[in-house]
Amino acid sequence: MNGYFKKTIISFLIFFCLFLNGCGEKVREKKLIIWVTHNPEELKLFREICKEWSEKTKFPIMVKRIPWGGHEAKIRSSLTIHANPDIARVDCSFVQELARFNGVEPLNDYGFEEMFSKLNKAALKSNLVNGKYYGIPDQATCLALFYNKKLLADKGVELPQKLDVNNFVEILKKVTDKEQGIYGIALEKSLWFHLPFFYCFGADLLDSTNRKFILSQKPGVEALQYLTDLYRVHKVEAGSWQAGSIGPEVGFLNQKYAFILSGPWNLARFNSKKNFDYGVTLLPEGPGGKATNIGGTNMVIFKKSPFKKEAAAFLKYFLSKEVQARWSSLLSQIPVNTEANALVNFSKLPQLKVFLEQIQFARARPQIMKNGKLFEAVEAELEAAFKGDKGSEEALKAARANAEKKVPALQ
Amino acid sequence: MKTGKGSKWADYCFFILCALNVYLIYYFSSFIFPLFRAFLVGKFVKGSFFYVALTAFTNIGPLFFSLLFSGFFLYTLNRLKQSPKWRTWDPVKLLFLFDCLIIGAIIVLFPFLWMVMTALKPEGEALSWSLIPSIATFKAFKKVWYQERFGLYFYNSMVIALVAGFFVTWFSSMAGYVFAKRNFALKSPLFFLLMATMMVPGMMYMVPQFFIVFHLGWHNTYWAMVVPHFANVFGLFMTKQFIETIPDSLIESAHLDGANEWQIFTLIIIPLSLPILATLFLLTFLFHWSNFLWQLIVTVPESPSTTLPVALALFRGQHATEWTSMMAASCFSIIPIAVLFLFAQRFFIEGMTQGAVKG
Repeated sequence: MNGYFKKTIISFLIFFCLFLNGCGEKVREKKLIIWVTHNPEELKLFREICKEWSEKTKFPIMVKRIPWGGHEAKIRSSLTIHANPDIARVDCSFVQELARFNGVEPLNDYGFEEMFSKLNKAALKSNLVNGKYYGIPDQATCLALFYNKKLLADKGVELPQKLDVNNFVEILKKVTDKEQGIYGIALEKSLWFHLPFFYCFGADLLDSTNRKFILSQKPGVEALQYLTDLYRVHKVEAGSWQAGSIGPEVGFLNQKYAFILSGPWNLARFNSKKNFDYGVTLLPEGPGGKATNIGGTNMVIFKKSPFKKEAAAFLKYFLSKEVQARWSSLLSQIPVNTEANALVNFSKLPQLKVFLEQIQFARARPQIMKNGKLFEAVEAELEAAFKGDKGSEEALKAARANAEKKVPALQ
Repeated sequence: MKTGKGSKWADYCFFILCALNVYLIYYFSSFIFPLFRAFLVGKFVKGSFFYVALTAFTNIGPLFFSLLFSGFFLYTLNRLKQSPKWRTWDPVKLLFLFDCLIIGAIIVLFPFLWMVMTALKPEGEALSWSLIPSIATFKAFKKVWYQERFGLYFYNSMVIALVAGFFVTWFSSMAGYVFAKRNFALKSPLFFLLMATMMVPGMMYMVPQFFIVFHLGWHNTYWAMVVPHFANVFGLFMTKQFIETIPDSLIESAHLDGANEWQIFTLIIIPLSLPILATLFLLTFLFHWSNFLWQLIVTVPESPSTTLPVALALFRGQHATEWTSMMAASCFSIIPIAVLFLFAQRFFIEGMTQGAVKG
């Protein structure tokens, strides 16, 4: 080995050691660790609430933010090496997976029974696995109908007292002005955004046992026919579900779409846009009555947590009516604790009040694992129906076959 | 059809192209002036003298500027016409070529322009169709840099991408040299076995790799982010293919001159393989610069080891995205890649083409 070689190897090693020295956090202290997926405004308030609880109970608490886009992968991998936090905020469909793989604790064992009765039923039901609740909703969302006041006023359209699926089509026809590129409504591609229409026709994705796909039954076919007719027959839908098209929110903000289905997460953003006048109303009522879907996030307590009792105590504090009222007022969000409704001044948040009414008609998501697979199986066929490649019945039958093939719970 | 110099057809084309250029200048200036206004308008009270003056300047500016610039453009063309070089150029072809390049550049740069403009918009305006913000603000840039500790994330990503790029290139070139120029037992089966691993999706390795990394005590360290990627079969394949094109006679003559393997490798193989090594370095750098999932998994949330792709993902929520912050952060994140490409583009193109045609 000559000197040149030695020098090269030594310089490599020095370089390696200098730059690859990490900054690890190894030892677990007596501290409640929470992983959240909040946005910065939510996170700021959440940290304040955590600090208050920590001061009251003298139990330290640490909040860490993880990206929404990778939260499932992050939690899964942390569970494999037992480096999970005590509490995590997860998507409602992910609770099912965590519960069935024995990753999280059933909350019934921690004195949550009284709290359960106060929470939104549909949001809570998404956490139900084998008769026990494995998560608790910390944020509940649903869809309502957003409308552009200017576009409606330009066509002299006023919303009726009671909006139903029939008079809604007439309104959409009046507002649509294809020459100017203005459409009555813009729909998303995701099935989650179509669910309120299916529900209001009396359809549902799965039966009460969560073992049978029933969207392909008559009410489901009627609902899909109604939706595809908006695009194909009445030509009042913008085709925004297609790849490369202008998305509903962008078109709505740019005065191109009169109605969109959206949730409370957009209230702050739409309110911050100058010279933009919009309103929110209940979704049209159908033969199956008023309906909407449920979304949002849930908090879970991990089985491997050494501080389960403290974690449960914190969740009870966070979901108390006072904290929820504060959360709702400051962030324009629907309180998950229904007792908090009385404490929120909705005169300052008129649009949020509509959501509060709408969420009463919300239906829970199917309580199965691989919820996403079920949605994917249906979405591909919905697109075929919208494009006219398949009839509504044919598309939903194909969706059923797809779902039964891909979703383990239906096999 | 005669299109050469001096023909009538050429004169018409030249005239049309000149008009097109004047229009392009006008179009460009009608974009620049409102942008200029957007930067200043927030500083004046609506209705004040300066506000009115700025508005008037914005309205008249494009016309004035385009007249001035078009005059300069035509004057320059006229001067060029008198130069002796003009006779050797075909002005129509030249102008056409420039216009095509300008339009091509605009098309290529438009997404970047949109990114910068969105970053300059107030949050509520992020999704509006107007390219130019009504009021330009650097709030998003400041927020990203100061509040979100982007400097640190930037540094982390830079270290990881550079170190990984360097070592992957180094190890791949050594392995590539051995596989291309040396004979040893089971060389071919071993090479095919290595090639076969390319068919296994990277996701399959993720959990076992994570498990190993954790038990080595590397969780939340730079080691975890780079070491598992040092063995790069694609890099080995790339360098082997290139090194095979280097004549054996060069190596033999080096041997005759008394050079050992290390000297042959460092003094002959490496300098001759620079284009492919630069390409491999660039590709590895890019991979690590934008590797989200692995860097997310092996780091503790919000720790000082967080990298840029993970930090960028924080701007995307369940339903809403902080577009302006995300675009501002993206502006920062493309800088190293742009700089790297700028300096290494010659090697990169050379490497890609030479690797493609093995001769």
